[in-house]
Amino acid sequence: MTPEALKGHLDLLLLAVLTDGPTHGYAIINELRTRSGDTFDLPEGTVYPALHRLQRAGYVTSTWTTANGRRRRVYTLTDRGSAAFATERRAWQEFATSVQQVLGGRPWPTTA
Amino acid sequence: MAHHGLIASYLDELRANLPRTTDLDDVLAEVEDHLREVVAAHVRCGMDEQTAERHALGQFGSAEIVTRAFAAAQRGGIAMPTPVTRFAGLAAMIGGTSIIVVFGLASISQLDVGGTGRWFAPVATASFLLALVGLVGLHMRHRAIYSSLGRVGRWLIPFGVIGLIVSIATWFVIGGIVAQVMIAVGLVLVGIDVWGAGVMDRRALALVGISIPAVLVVAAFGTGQFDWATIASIVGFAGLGSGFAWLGHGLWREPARASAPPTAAV
Repeated sequence: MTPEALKGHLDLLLLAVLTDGPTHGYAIINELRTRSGDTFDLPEGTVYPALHRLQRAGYVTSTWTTANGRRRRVYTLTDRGSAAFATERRAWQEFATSVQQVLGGRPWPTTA
Repeated sequence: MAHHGLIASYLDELRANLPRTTDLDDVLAEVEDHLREVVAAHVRCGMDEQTAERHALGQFGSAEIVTRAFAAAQRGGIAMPTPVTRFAGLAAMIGGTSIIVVFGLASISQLDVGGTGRWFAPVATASFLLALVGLVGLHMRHRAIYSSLGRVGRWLIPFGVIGLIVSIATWFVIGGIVAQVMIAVGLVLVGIDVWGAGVMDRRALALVGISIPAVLVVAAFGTGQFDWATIASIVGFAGLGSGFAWLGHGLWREPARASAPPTAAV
């Protein structure tokens, strides 16, 4: 999948990964790659601005820890983020179902 | 002793180019932590440290792409080049080159543009239209870095270009002068932002910036005779066209992907 196709859905995917619990950026990216079967391939550095944007929106918070002698930022999904994720996931599922119906060639429902 | 030159250089580049509104120390700490983790993972797979650093940086993305991603996350814009932006770069290259040729020939030959030089108006119009397409592409790529100055400038430029095209077509001299001033001021304002952000080749920006006064001088003092104003015209439009072509080339040659994923060493 091209980076441009992924761009519009990155926030949803990041929130999905964070529903499993607090984690840092590198682990989020690895989990994203693993869950997608290596389909989602984009420059890893472009994920961090998205995480920061989610933080500004109040969907995630971050705390600093220390790992291997380095500062490490750990992201946690907020209640607001959890609610936003649930809403976006529902919207995505509806959209995907509708697209699949069109692609699947099922007839439009008639009013007759 | 571990070799950390590549990552340190990368972090220095990010520090120099990240938007000023970014919390630099935190962002760089996070980036460094990520890169060191990736390097450690590659080393565990059997890669030597220097190769692991190169692969880690390749996976992470060029400093330019990451810088744009941070800027785009703050203000909108395109972090990655697209076929549209690359086409715009090509248009700027062609338009810039055409500006050099058209205005250079017109200046040197003291063209009777109302008579035998009827080709001048449509060709000059087409040249500026192509340059405008290129400017649109540059705007799409880099609009995330605009301050309030740049946002004013980005509106002056297209209106100035449209005014210039209309003035060329209708031989409205004063309108042409006003339009050129609008374009020049717009370019300066946008140029200030772009120069500070470092997202375009500064030499090309400097060339455009230096050329603007020459073009304005011709607009204000040109007499139609082969004099110092004509020389300034040749120099000015040559510089302006070269600068546009140079910027367009930078936009055109951007790859679609910032990096290729490395193959894992088994």
